[in-house]
Amino acid sequence: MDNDKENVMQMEDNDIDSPKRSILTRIVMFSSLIVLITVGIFIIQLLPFERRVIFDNLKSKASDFSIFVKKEMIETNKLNSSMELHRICTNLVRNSQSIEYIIITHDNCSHVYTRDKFEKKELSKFWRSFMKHSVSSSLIKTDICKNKTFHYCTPVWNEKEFIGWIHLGFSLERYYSDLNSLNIQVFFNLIIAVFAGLILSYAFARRIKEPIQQLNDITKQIRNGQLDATVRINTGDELECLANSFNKMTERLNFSHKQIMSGHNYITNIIKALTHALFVISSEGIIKIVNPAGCSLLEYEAFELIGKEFGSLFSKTETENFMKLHDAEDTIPIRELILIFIYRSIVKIQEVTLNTQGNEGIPVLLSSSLIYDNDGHIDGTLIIAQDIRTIKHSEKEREKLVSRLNDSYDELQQFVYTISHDLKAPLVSLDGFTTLLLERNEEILDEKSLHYINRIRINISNMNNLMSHIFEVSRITQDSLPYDIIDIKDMVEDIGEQFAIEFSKFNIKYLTLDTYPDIIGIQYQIRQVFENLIYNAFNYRNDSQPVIEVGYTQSDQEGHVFYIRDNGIGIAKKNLDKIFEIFARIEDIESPGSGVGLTIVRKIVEHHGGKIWVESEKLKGSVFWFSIPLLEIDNTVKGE
Amino acid sequence: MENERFEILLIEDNVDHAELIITQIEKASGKTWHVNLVSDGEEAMSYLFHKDKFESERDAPKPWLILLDLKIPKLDGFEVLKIIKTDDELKSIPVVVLTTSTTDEDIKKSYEYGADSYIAKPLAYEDFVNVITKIKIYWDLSEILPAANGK
Repeated sequence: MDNDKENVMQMEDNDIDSPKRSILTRIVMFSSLIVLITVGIFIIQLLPFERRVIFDNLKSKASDFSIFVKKEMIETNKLNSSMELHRICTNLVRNSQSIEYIIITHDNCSHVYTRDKFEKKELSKFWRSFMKHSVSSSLIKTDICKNKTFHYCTPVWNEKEFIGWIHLGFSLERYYSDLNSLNIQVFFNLIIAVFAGLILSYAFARRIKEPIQQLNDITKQIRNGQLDATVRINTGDELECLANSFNKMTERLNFSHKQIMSGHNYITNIIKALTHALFVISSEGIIKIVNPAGCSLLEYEAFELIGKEFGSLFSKTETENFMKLHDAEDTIPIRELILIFIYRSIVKIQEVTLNTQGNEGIPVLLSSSLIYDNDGHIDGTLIIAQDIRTIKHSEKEREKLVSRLNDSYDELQQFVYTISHDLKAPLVSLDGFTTLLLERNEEILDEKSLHYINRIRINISNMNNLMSHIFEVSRITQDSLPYDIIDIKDMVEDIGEQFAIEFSKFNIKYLTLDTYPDIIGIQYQIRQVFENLIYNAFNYRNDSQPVIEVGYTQSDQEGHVFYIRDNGIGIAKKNLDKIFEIFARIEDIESPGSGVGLTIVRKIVEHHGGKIWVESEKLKGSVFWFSIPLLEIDNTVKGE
Repeated sequence: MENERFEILLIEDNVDHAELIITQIEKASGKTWHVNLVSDGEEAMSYLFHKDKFESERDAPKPWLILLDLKIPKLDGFEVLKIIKTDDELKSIPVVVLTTSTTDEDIKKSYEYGADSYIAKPLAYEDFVNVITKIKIYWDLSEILPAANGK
């Protein structure tokens, strides 16, 4: 389709290049027409003038003759002898080439002299009367023989005495031949003039045509993309002005073209630099643009991909999936299916498999968006394909790792379960039998033996505690207990009551706030946190005026922040890092703790998404801070 | 009733535990309580349904109380509990579950399956005897009060 368009354009170009009528022929034709018309008008003007000149010439000749004859007539009249006149007239007629005849009317008779003969005739009455009245010679100036003879007559007066008429007949043949030769000469001149005119006009036309031709050639160059071509015309006339403004125009055109091209190149380079494969496909699903990343991804050359149907790049399983997905029959061509797929997924990003030239399936993330032209019509689709082979690979790796992790976690859980159950069974036996042993032999055994048995029993009890704690710690994260809204105020007060006897016994001040926020968490675990921390503060109390304070602040980063402050013995700086580690008892303190309380606290806080930290100074007391993130209280939790 | 022995069925695979429990019970009851011991789930089934070596009633008297360890071989403690509590004849016998675990799940599960009481196995044998004594008293009361019978 584009080729057709190009052909049409080429043909139009040819039409532009070869004008139907060249300016040269037009000017030459026009100027020769003007010459012809001028010459024509000249001839038309000239011909009657020529005729008049001829006739005037003849007339003066005739008048010369008539004067001569008149003189003779007057003399002969005086002499009264006509012999002389007769001789003269006869000689005139015979010798002159132009005079055809001479007629002299005199005394009611006319003497007619022709070349061949002489006649004397009586005048008719009509002519006789006419003779007397005749005044002017011009009255009867007529051609007698049409186009052949020029007739001239003049009256003869001898001092107011009318004598007669002289008629002269001139042959026109000779004048006509003169005229013809004149005409031939004019015709030749005319041809010469036309030729000269043509040559001149040709030269002129060429002078005009050359710059125009140059303009035309340059225009052609510009049309073929050579935008820096300039016209050089130094005629000094309007053509030069035209050429100059033409140059200006191309200059500006070149400038804006360069700007557009640089913008275009910029975008093209961006597309080229894109590491993801980019395709532009037409509304028919044909690939129009593909970037180098797209070519290398699918192992094609760009020219192989352009013009290809995008749908043909999909792997076979992928197209089969489309068929199923769109419930398509076999009759719907894949091409249309792909189009449906692309158009329906205007904003969606989809994972599909594309085939390389080597038929290797490549998983890609396909994001497509429609391209609209300026009129708002769909002009194709932009498709970006991201190679997700490495992502897929690492996904698989991750899955493997996660499953391994899950396996070892399960194993660990199993291990912990085994420890706390199976190792407990022998402990139960040990405890039972030592109890029986003691009961049975209490009276017999000496003090030392009783002491040994008691040590055995205490150790059994310690071991039992250790195992319970291990199990407890391991259970914190495993629990899938529901989250509840917890009334902290109630909880803190309840714990106070729980320890009331101990607190009063050691004269401990238990400080609480009037209000605490409700938080969301696992009720018994949060209680354990407060209990353990408060119990810790109690355990490591100072003996004079011990205080335990349960406080609260809210922080933007951490959410709810609670703290338990005491003025107890504090923790040495070097031990601050160790206190949350499991069974990390600080050696130099004799205290009744199990060594697992803070570990449990930290695990619970972390399980709730919070953090725990401690500030402490030896002999001055400690502050344990822990945060619980702010959670929206949603309805499902409230419902429970 | 006085001279009738109070029969207890102990289902326990750990020989030591069994010996300790039996010792404790006999000590607490002055040998009026008689403990019949089976060591796995299948044997417990044979005992309760009079199969194999427990064919005669004499060898396998009907217990007034069953002490059931949850971790026993062949047939899991929960399975045994389920069978007892779904059997019309046996379900009226109180079952006290013995376990070394103190997890909520096991206790909850035991009660769901119909256990009547629960003793965590650790070391408090005094507690253990107390529970059994309480059940005995309750049992005796239910014998006297027909309204509560079968409960």
